[in-house]
This record gives sequence, C-alpha cells and structure tokens, in this order.
Amino acid sequence: MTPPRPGQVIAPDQAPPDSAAGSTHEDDLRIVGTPFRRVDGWAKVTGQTRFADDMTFPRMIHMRLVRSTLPHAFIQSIDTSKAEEMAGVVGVLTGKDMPEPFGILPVSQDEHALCLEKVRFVGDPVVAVAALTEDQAADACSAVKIEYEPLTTISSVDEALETHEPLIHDYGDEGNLHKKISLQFGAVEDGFAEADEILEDVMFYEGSTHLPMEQHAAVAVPEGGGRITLYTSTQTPHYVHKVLAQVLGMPASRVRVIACSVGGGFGGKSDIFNHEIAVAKMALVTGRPVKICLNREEVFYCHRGRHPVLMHLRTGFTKDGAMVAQHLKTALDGGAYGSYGVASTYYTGALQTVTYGLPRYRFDSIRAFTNKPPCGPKRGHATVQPRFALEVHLDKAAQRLGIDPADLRLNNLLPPDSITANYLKVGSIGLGACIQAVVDGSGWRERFQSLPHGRGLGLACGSYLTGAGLPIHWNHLPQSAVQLKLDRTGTVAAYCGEAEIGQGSDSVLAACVAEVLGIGLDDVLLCVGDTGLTPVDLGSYSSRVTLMVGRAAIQAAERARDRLAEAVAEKLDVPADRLVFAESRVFDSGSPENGMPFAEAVQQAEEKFGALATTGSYAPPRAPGRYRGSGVGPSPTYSYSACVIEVEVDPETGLYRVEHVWIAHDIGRAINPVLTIGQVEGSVYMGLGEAMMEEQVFRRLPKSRSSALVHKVPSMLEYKSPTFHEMPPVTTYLIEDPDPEGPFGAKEVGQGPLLPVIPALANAIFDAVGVRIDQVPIGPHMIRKALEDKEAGGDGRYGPKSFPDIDFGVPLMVPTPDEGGDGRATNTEEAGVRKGSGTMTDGVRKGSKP
Amino acid sequence: MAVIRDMMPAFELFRPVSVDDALQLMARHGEAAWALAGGLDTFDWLKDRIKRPEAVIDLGAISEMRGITADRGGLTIGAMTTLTEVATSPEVVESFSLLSMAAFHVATPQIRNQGTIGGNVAQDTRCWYYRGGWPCYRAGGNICYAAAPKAMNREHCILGAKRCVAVNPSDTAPALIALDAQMVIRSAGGERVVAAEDFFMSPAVDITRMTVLEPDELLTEIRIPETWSRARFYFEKVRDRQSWDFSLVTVASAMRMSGGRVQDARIVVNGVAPRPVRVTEAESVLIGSPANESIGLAAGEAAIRRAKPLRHNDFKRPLMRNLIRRAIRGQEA
Amino acid sequence: MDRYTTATLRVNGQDLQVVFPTHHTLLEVLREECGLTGTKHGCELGECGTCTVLVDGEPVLSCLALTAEMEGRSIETVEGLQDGNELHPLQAAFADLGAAQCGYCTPGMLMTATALLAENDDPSADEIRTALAGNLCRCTGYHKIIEAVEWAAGVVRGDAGAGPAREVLFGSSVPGEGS
Repeated sequence: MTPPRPGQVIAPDQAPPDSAAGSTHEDDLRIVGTPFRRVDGWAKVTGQTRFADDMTFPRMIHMRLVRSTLPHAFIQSIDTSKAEEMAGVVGVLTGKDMPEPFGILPVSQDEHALCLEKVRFVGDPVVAVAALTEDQAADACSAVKIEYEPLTTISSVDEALETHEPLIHDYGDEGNLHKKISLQFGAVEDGFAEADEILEDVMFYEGSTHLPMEQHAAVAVPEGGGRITLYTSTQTPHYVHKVLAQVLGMPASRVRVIACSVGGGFGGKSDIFNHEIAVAKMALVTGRPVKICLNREEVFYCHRGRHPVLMHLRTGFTKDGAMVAQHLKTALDGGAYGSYGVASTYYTGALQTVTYGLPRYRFDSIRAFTNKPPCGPKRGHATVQPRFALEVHLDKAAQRLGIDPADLRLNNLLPPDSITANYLKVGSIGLGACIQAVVDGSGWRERFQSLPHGRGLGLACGSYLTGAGLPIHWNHLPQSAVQLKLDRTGTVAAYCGEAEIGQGSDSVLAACVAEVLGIGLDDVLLCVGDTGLTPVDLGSYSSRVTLMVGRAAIQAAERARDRLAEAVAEKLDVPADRLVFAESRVFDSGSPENGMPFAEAVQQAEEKFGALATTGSYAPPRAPGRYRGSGVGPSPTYSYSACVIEVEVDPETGLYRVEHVWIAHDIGRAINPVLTIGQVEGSVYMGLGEAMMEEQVFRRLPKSRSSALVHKVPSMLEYKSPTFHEMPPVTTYLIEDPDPEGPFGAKEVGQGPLLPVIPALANAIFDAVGVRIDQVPIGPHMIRKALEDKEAGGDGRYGPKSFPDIDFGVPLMVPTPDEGGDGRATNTEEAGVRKGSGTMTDGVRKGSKP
Repeated sequence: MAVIRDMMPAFELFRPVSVDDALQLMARHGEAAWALAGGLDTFDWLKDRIKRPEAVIDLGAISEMRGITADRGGLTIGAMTTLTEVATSPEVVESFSLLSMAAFHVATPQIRNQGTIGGNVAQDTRCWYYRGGWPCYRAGGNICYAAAPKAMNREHCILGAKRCVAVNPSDTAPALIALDAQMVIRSAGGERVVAAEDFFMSPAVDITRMTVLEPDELLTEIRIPETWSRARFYFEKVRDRQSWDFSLVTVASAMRMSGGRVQDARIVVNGVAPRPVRVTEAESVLIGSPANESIGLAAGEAAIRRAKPLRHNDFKRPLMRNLIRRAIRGQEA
Repeated sequence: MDRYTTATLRVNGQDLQVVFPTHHTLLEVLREECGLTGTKHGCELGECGTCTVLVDGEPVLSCLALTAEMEGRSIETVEGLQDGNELHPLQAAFADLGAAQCGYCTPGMLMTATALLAENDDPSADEIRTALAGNLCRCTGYHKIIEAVEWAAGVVRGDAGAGPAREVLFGSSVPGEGS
C-alpha cells in the first residue's frame, strides 16, 4: 500500500455515495465530507504521540499519594517523619500545604488538593510523597502514619436522606443533600386531567465509570521567572489552569497548562484532580520536575463517572400516544464531592423535552452526598439515565395503547424550530429520518413482535447537546477561539486551546482551516491545548468542540482568506469575489490558469499588510430561558439518534447476547465520515457496556472490620467492560441535513449515539421474553428473576419498587411558551424551600471542622 | 483497598536450569521462597505487595519442565508448558481435545502465551476479599468476608464450602480430572504422584492451600493416561465476558459409549466449589443409560441436589444443571 | 535494597545493553531504561493488554514479564514496526480508518495484530476477534480495528483490490434513499 500522507484522502476511488452525503454538492467542499486520515494518526500508530506519562525531564522526581483507607473520618494526626527519612525522599506534602478549596463549579468549591481535616471516601488523598524513584516514593508512602476518628458512613441516597448527623459537607441545600431542585413548566395537573392513560414507572440506572485506557498522569516543571508548567492528561486545560492558579495562589499569568494527548477521557478527565495540584505544588517546593502517574486503582477513585440515579416517571398520554404532561423525579447518588454535580442534577431533567412534544412538564431532583468517589460527567452527562427511563416508559405506553413503538415516536416528534416547555430552543431535528432508517434497516415492521420466543427487537431514541450554551464560569467571553499565523512557505499554523482526547478535534480544526483556505491538511500545523500559547477554548466536554472550534476556525480562516484575496485581486487585477481558493492555489474562477500558488498569495498579502495573523471566535446564541436553572440544557443545536437492537435471550439461564445494532445519527454534516462512524460505533460500544455489565459499585465490609465502604474491586478484570467478543455487528446510518449553526452544517456525534442504546436493549429483552428489566446493567439473574415472577403470575418485572418520599417544597413555576410565558419564573421568591446554606460557606473555605 | 501498592517489592531472583537446582533453592529458602512459573498469578500477588517473598525462583529456564511427549498412548506434559502450547499441540488436540479446549478458554491469548499449565492448576483462588488482602480464614484470620450477610458473593461456592466459600478458578483443572491425569510432584526428598482428583485441597483439610503441594514441593509434570484417549468430550465455560474472565460455572466431561449407552463417564465441574468437583451423582445416573436430554436433565438435577447457594449466586444452580445436561446431550444449545 | 541486573536485550533488531532493578518488568525497562515510551500501560496486572509487545514473535504482556528473563530473546515494540519512512500496512490502516482514536491501546493492538498476520495473512473477522481478544479498547467499539486488520491483511497478501468497504468509510446507505 502506498500509505496516504497525513490528511490524505482515503481510497480516493470511493466517491461519497449520494445517499450518504445527503446534501447537494453545490457548496463544493473538497475535504469536509470526505474520509481522510486523522491528522494525529501517524504519531498515534508509530508510538510517537506523547501522553503525559511519556514526558521526562532532567532531574525529574516521582510522586505518589497516600490515600484514605476509611470512608468517612476526621484526620487526627499525620506522621510523615519516618517517610521523610527514607532513602531517596525529596518532598512530603499534606493538606496544610494547599489549604485553598477548589472545585470545577464555582458553587461547589468543596475539594482540597490533599484532605485537610476530614476524609470523605476510601481513596481520598491525604499525603503526597516525592522521591528519586517511583519505588522509593511507594516505599515511603507505606511509612506514613495517619490516625483517624471514624464517622458514620453514608453509602446511599436513602442513608443520606435519613442521616442528619454527621454531614459529609457543611454546605448544600439540606442536610446531606447537595442539591434539591423543583421546576414546573406549565399547568401539569391540568395536563394529567386531560390524559386518557397515565403511566407510572420507577427505574434505576447504576453508576459506571469511564475506564479510560490511560491512567491519569501529570508532570509539573518549575520554570524561570516564577512560572510553572503542568503537562497533564486533561480534557479541560483552561479549567485546570484557572483552578491551579487559584489553589497555588499564583497569578494565572505565571501558570501554564499543557494538555497532552489524552488516552481516553469520556468525561473522566474534565475535572481538575488532586494529583494535578499536588504535583505542581511539589515541583514548586522541591524546585524539580515532578511526575505522578496514578495506578489503575486510583483511577477508580478519581471517578467523576455516571451518577447512580433512581427515577420516578409519570406521564399522561392521549389515546393516540401523545404526551400531555409529565412529572419526572430523579435522585442522584453524588459521591463525596460536588464536581459537576449541580449541572448533572439539572441534566437529569433538562433534555426530556427535546425529542417529542411535551406541553407541560414538572421536574424534581435531589443529589445526595455519599462516602464514595465523586460522580460527575460521563459521555451523555446525566441525560443518559432519564433517557433510559423515558424510552422504556414509551415502550410500555406503546404496548398499553396498542401502538407500534416506532409510530408512537414518529407521530409525536417535536417539530423543528420549537421552543420547548422548559425553554430550550431547538433548531433542526433529524429524528424522524433516524427512526425511519433503523426501522427500515432492521426490518422492524415485519419482525417486531414476530420473532421466536427468546429473540427480540427493541427501539429507542435520544438527543444530545452540541455544546453547552453557557460556560462554567458565567461570562460573555468567547467560548472558543482560534488564531491563525500564515507564513511565506504557505504553512498555516492554527492555535487553539482545544484538547485532542481521541475524538478527532485536531482533525476538525485542521479540516475547517484547510477547507476555507483551499490548502491541504498537511499544510496546517497545529498548536493546541496550551494555555500559555493558545487562545482559550473551554475544553473537550459537552460535545462542544466540533461546533465551537469549527465555527471559530472558519471565522479565522475566512478573515485570512479575505486578506489574501484583497492582495491577490490587486496583483492579478481581478475582482476579489471572483477568486477561488483550491488545490493550494488562488485563482480567477473565470480563467483558472490566471492565479498563483497559495504560498505566493501569502507573500503578496504580507507585502501589502505586513505579517499575517487572524483570529476567530465563537459564543453560542443566548437561550430564551430566564429562570433559575435555565442555564443547563441550552445548546446551539441538538443531535438526534435512533437505535434498534436485536437480542437473543436464553430463558433457562437469563444469559443473553446482542445480535445486531442498527443506529442512525443526525449529524447535520459529517466533517470526516470515517471518524464520525468511529464515534457512533464507540458510543454504541460504551452504551452496551453500561446496559450489559459496567457498574461502579461498592460493598461494605463486615462490622468487625469497621463496616468500611469500599469499591467492589477497583480493577479492570472485575470492572467488566466489553471485549472484542461482546461487541455485536453495528449498522450505522449517518443522517445528514446541515444545521445552520454548525460548521459546514455539522452537529455533535461523540455522545448522542450512546443514549438510545441502553433503553433499546431493555426494550429488546421485553420483545424477546416478555419481561421488563427496569434497571441497568441488565444481569442474567434479573431476567431469570423476572421470568420466575411471571411464571408465578406476577407482572414479570425486575427493578426498583419505590422512590423515596421527599418534600420538594414549592416548585419554581415557569409558564410555558404556549401559555404565554416569557421564560421567567412567576414565584422566584417563594420557590425552593432550602434549609441548608446553598453554596460553600466560610467554614468549609477555611477548612474548619464542620 | 486504597492502600496503593501496585509495584513489586525488590527480591532476589534465581533462575535454575534444572529441577534439582530449583528444589535445592526451595529447600534452602523455605518459607521465603516463591516458585515463579508464567507469572500471571505471581505478579498479581507481588504487585499488590500482599505477598513479599525474598527469593523468587524462576522456573522459566528449566527445559526439562517444558514440552509435551507421547507416552504409551497417553501424554506427559511438563508443568512449564505454556497454555498456548497445550491448546495447540497436535497430540493434545488429536487424543485429548478436552484439555486443548480447556486451555484455550483461559483468559486471553497473551496470558495463554505466558501462562503455564502448572501455574494454571496451582493458581490461588480469585475471591476478591482474600485477594484484597483482608485477613480471612484462608489468609490465616477468623472470618469469611464473602459469606457475611451483606457480602457480594456472586462468584462464590454453591457446593463444598467449609468456612471458606472461595472457588477454584482453574480452567484446565476440571479437564485434567476428567482425563484422570496424574500429577507428578517432586521435592528434595523425592517424587510422589497424585491423581488430579486428589491434587486440589478442600478447605476442610487445609484452608490456606489450594493444592496438596507443600512449600518445598514443585509440580513438575502432568501425565495423562491412555484411558480416555479420543473419548466423547464436552467442555463449556460460562463467564461474564468471553475473554479474560474466570469461570462462573465450567463443565468438563469424558464419556465412553457402547451400544448407544454410556459405558463410563467422568463429569467434572468447576467454579462452584473450593476445588474442582467430580459429580459422581450425575455419573451414576448416566452409566448404562443413553446420553440424551432426559438423562442429562436427571443427571443435572442429581448433581445440584446438595447445592447451597449464597445470597447472590443462586443462578449457579440452574447454570450447573444445564451445563451438565448439555455435556451429556453432547452439544451446545 | 534493590538488586540490579545487566542484560543485553535485542529490541527491534538492535542489541541494547541495559542495567535495571532485577524485579523490574519488561514494560518498565522498555519505557524507562530503553526510552521506548511507545509501549503503554493500562493496569499493570494483565487485565487490559495495552502493554503487549512481541517476544520471539509472540504477543506477551510486558507488565507481567521479568526483564531478567529476556536475555537472548527478540523483543519487538511499536517503534520497530515501520520500514524506514514507510508505515507498516497495519499502521497505515489503523491511522486511516480511525482504528486509533485516543491511540493509547493502539501500540498493543498493533503488536498483537502483527503476530496474527505473521501467522495468518487472511484472517476472518472471527479470527481477528479471537486473536485480539486480549486487548481492550474503550474508544472504537472494535469495528474499525477489525476493518483495519482486514485491510492490512489484504495489503500484506498483495491483494491489489484491498480497501475498506463503502459503509466502513461513509456508513450504510440509508434505506429507501437510492443505492
């Protein structure tokens, strides 16, 4: 094979099939829409990509952490004297060395780089030790003595609700509840009164973790001039930069964060972590480069993964399957710290409205603190759990109303350009085409409810953000920016704060620049994810990069093109609007031979204007919601997906196998189709993992051993994730209908396709053996139990029985657009009964005993 | 947990080239010695720093412990023969395919390339409470965490528990018992031969050991007699994932047919008891009968009669019954 | 006290003399003493396959192999796959199809696949699955990896028509919309 150069088009003889391209070719794109080798591909297959743990520096030392062995305790004493005397030890840090609290969200500044007075889960870091070798650091860690005064362990939402003392944190909305939300959009009870059929469900979604292949690693390097540089495996260098400066007490201008290539993130590397701060502090204290690489067990303690969520869903339907009102209650088990939890809590309710018409909606939620590693954002951030509940709920509704589940959905699609009951502005919606594609592809009409006992088909849908509408720190600044530097060789250097985590963001950036300027992908040099050199991009989370970086890149490139055109037009004496940028040339569209190479065009422009650099930036449009909580959910545009799963169940054992997955994704436009399909397949994979086996669960040791709550087994063997053998065949359909907000019409693809997979499996199992498993992951024993229950005359269901009785107080009342609402709440003063202090208190800020 | 110890402590490494040298080293270092075969089980223990041997005796350079030789219609397999070699050896595949299937079902290709048959049968249990370093009965303490009221024990025993409810994790062990293999054990004091069926230790006898191997003894080779050569074999391992995972329930069987009836049979299950179990209840139902669905079911029912599931492993009963039924019926379905 | 071993390792066809702590694994010595950081680690307990290298042509978990055992054996890592500036067909296909997303499991995946193709240059999808079942990937869902191995196998065989199918690059044709 003559390997294509970086960025070269793959299999050029394969023209895009018309049906897949979807759009017309009048926009004449050369790169966008064509499969090309990812720009970081060469480095990744040759071993040249440098991940954080691959970095070494002269005089570098190694750091390790001593972590709490108790789930909830006061730290009585820390004795590091023996460790300090051990061979090779260079530095030892405790919480007192970095007392400033931090957290990713401004409202949850509840973490410390090393625990100050209290530990809150088994694995909470307490002491950092650095030594000449990793072996020496590990040995010294085992010489550290920590004495604890154990506190009552809170292991679940129920225990958090019952336990008023001790408090895991002394802030939060009430007792051990971190957050409590009650929102009502429209006259919900009137809606239920109109319903022909009311359906009620209680469902549970177990927690799971990201399990990136790369363990978190960071290297801190002290530099001259009081600067420090941190190389780290992060999805969000901008936020790491902010927090690092805050905790170290340094001006942000003296702190530089470089996001190395990330070996898998999935949301798990979008917080700032204890070790990142501690390693920087250690470098400052010792004056030497310091590295830390967490081991696999510690990665399980970093977590920030999927929240376990218990859900209660009540929906009123008309006879023909339209929803007239819905009341969703969710209870999130948040773990020991805030993390993104407040956003997660809102996200369990926010996107229920963007797929099907839902005129009135109430949403109540709590997030509890528990003594477990903190939960946070994982692929599909907290919209995955309620999506599972909703799509299984709709399957049951279809069954009860005697409507085909595909028709129930197709008949009630949210129209494009809607404003939903909770004030989300939705633009293009390709969901109908998605459903049609998987229905046709899977033979749904002929095969659903018609397969032999043990085999079944299930259908479900989903939707996700293409970037969050608001930044984490509210401001009116651009959320993404790109700077271009054009030089006389014709090379265009693109600077952007985005972080490549494998999703292909580097390729999107390069493609957008190259497309606009008519140059090759290998004419674009990238400098990314470096807070010292690149303009801010908020990071690789909420599926924002393609849209926001893409838009910023296009703007910067168009500005560069305009400059070049002006200079070239003058030189060639043709009107600038007749110039074409293509094939690394700039030429007259009327007479293509009249033109010049791109490099010469740059020289012309440089002669005319001086050195050439342009910028572009992007900030999402303002969303219409004006109520407290309306900041979570808005997005420039939403992606849509539909999925059909075929499953084979052995009724004797409950063992089952996914035979095939059909999935269609409304991508707007695929910038690089082959990478887009990779994102879809990867989402299907991760969704199946959660549906079938993945669970981050804990166990209590017996009383005689302190009842400690420990991770079930923090290992890759016991945290089951699908192997080659568990991955079924996947048929992927890309539905392309360019969205005006997206770069070249593109929407997100990294997260959305995960959402429908989980409920589609549960629905398929029902079609196969007639039992409902209302929780995930779905274990064979659950199917067996449900079948036994059915054989004994029961309803053939396995799942949670009830939702805790919680007083949500007076909901925040927001009249819907249909009711003439303006996006504001009408009762801001009286809504939300909160007994707690709401946000961080001074007490915690100073680290005093609660 | 959370005592982060993933790096091996330093040790003295010996690489003897003969069994005699290895045995002398083991005798010299006594309790401080650790015999290293493929390293899959060993390094797991060492990296957790739960076991800290001072002297690691690496058997990898002993050529006499490696290889498969035909022997009077049977086979002699050196204990250091890798699982890949066992799984792909033409002699094994031809006459004792049961063992080749079993070896092929171990973990992953890499682990089969490195892991040895001796290590596979002698490996320690996977009970996570025990391997997590908790001081349970098996570790010399006075409690079984896995049998406690709120314990997670989905992977544990339904048969033969005695204080400890951990199961034997070996995939090749049930096949070797079904083939009536003989385990050759040597120490500085000499050699003894133990039937595979008697090689594995019940916690009722010694709760701290998985096998009859004494600290100064080595399993040097495994002899498979001609007895079951080219018999009717069945092997099935049920696990959560079709790669890596240890067995939830495994069945290995060998049958001789005569005139449409079962003349002789050995049926062995693993993953259900502290040691691989020969289910004689099932065998006695079977002998003299046709190997069909109804006899299979009867044999399966007989086999699980004594089963006592723990809180979370009730599913193993029907699973074991069905696997025995399938072994007798002779096809996967 | 650490004990050290001196050994000559044959890595990617080149003899390297290294001194290392006796208890250190091949993974540690490759990354630290040899500076070959292309070999990655995901668990260091044999539970992910990320650290796979070839020892005498066989895929081996370098995290569970003592370096002291490696004297006289041939070790191949991802850094040795290229032929000059030419990528190995597996490398090219992995890069082209996005079989490397984050790229962290990729070196191990490539080495295992190299051993497979050395033994069988026309593997079926099932044979690829079986051969690679000891390597975990969290990004791709495995399909692009299987397709890349199939493509590379075709190139290795000298099959002029080897290349990914349309649906691999563009997705399946939407039913009812033409071809």
